[in-house]
Amino acid sequence: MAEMKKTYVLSAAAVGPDAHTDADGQLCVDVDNRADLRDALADCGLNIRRAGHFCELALAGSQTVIKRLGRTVPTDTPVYLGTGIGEAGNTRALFKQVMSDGAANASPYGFVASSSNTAAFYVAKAAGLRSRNMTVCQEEFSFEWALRLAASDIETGASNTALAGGADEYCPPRSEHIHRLPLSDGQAMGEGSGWLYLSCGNSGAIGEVLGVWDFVFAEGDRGGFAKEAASLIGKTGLSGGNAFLLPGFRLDGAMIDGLVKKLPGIEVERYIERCGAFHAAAAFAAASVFEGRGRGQRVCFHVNTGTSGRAFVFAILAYA
Amino acid sequence: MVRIAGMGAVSSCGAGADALTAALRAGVGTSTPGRAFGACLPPGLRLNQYAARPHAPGAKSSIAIQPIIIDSIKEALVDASLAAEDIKDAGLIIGTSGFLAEAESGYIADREAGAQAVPLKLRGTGRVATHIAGALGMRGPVVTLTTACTSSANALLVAAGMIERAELRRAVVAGAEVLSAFAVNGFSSMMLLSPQGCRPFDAERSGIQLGEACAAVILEAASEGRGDYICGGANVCDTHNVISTNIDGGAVMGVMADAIRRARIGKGEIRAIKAHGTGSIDNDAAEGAGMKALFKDKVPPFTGFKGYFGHTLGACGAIETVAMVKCLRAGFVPPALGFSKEDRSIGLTPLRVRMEAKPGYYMLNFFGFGGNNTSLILRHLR
Repeated sequence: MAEMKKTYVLSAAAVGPDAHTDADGQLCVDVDNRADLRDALADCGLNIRRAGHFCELALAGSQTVIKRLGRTVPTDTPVYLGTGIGEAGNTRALFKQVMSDGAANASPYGFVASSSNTAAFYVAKAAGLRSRNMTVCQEEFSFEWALRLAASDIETGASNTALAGGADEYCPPRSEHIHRLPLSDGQAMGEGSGWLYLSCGNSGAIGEVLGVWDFVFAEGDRGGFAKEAASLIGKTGLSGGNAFLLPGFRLDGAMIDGLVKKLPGIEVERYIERCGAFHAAAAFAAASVFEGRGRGQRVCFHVNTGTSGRAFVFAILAYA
Repeated sequence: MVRIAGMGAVSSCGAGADALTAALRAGVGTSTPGRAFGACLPPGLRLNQYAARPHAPGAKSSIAIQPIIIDSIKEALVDASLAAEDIKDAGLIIGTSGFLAEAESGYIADREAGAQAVPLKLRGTGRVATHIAGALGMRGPVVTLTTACTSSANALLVAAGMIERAELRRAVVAGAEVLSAFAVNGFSSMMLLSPQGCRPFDAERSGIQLGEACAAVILEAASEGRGDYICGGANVCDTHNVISTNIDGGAVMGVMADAIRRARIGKGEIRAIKAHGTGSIDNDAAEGAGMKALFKDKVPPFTGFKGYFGHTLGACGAIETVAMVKCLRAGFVPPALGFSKEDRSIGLTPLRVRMEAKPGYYMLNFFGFGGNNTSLILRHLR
């Protein structure tokens, strides 16, 4: 097999909800105050008046990552968008339109807009792309899969560049949305978008994708989970010494502690406090690794589990 | 090489992949007056529905797509002479436009029970694949693609790519749809449903004929020998319009050309094309223009399957690939059911009688909302 190429990160962008500190000094995600996306969308060149909030989140993130890149994106750059619940807001609105008493017909554009790959269409259109375009919908691992497929394209030479992103929206009230994203009482709902622009070339690179791995463990076997996750992290040869653990929203305190014990020197960065929990929150994590640069070289390991004994780990190296 | 090792299917033709071949051999459509969609179904419209739906909308219990997918996978295992143990480490890749029928039936059931009905009470489309992997003891990678009508075609493309790159040795690919009032209503509001059914490329075509289906395909790495192989494919997003690809055919031509290039063959080697052929004014115009732009005056014989078992949305990639392979193995390419009169603005006529299937390369095209276009290249070796 041909030599595998490295996957470099040339640009990153994270979009999240408003976060503020409450009277007790606790950082809170105020997801009911939605992120103001007007600036990010101002120059996208599209009429997205009828697009929903999910589409806006995906587009705001992708447009920001392209602006930060500072150069033209090749038109054959594939787009991989991961989302747990896609066009939830549009679909919910249509649901009420079609299913309520005295139901009316769905609006034609509303029906098309409810298709989960509409957002990826607008991402490609705004970027002037004519390329592979995949929407991945695999619950808590939606972004991990988008990243895996994008990185694989680059490693194998199928593509020289790729856009890998994730986005999910919050549709209030919480009492309804909890059915779409089961969370414990203490977990804050979130929403947001995160994008990485990837390349096989390192000119202007700000980091690298070191790997994306998945594994299965016996449900409830915290020890087995920690052992396997730590083993995968250890394989990078970079853990310890400016290494960070980014725990996904399905990891509870005991799981995080178990991992930290097996990875001496690793620091925990609780990004969920900034964006709240949503299926594609890993995308926010991956992009926010590159925020506040000047902290020295960092290697960040994102770990999350699903609801049935599966887990994903990805590792990103952010240059100094 | 990526070999098609086993197949299974459930559709309006009946249970089992052989039911598809029987319908296509007999030249018989399998639509019926739409059941259980009530007021949202325009009068006289027919649908291609499962002969035995898991549950009807509005019943006390919810629709569940999982049993149908599992049955299709089990049929594919038998077809491939494999046991459940043999797919323990295989990947599971599902393509679907979404499983809204479950949310819909749950909503109706809650309302009928006097409970608070929550719209879109779904954990996300990917939960079905997670459940199925667990039920079948599959520990390999699990992923769901949702790209509207190209979903399971893209699932085949992605799975084949993972096998070619040695990320997987074997993959179970499934395409699945259950019709929902939501979808029927939506297509109806777009005036895309045809009272006359699917008439692909016909001068008097007037829209699509909706269907539901499930199909499973087991792919594996193999060296060349007798059998059927996915030897290339391409996916390209045409950003012309979010509803349909450009009717000038440029994007259609582009994705077909890309698929041929990736399969490392010449366009003259394509023996026949399974067109997307929805019967909609714009899709068939675009597809015809694309075929002419690429093949010029040597457009290969082409056919469409949606007159037989409907446009099964996200499942059409898998079910139409299964149907094509089954027919090739039986020695024929079926004609395009529903066609009778050439549209002079397209200037092409699909197959009107059965064509003998010879060893060689066959192209399968799929196009969907969001300008998502996919073309697969099959190699059929006897």
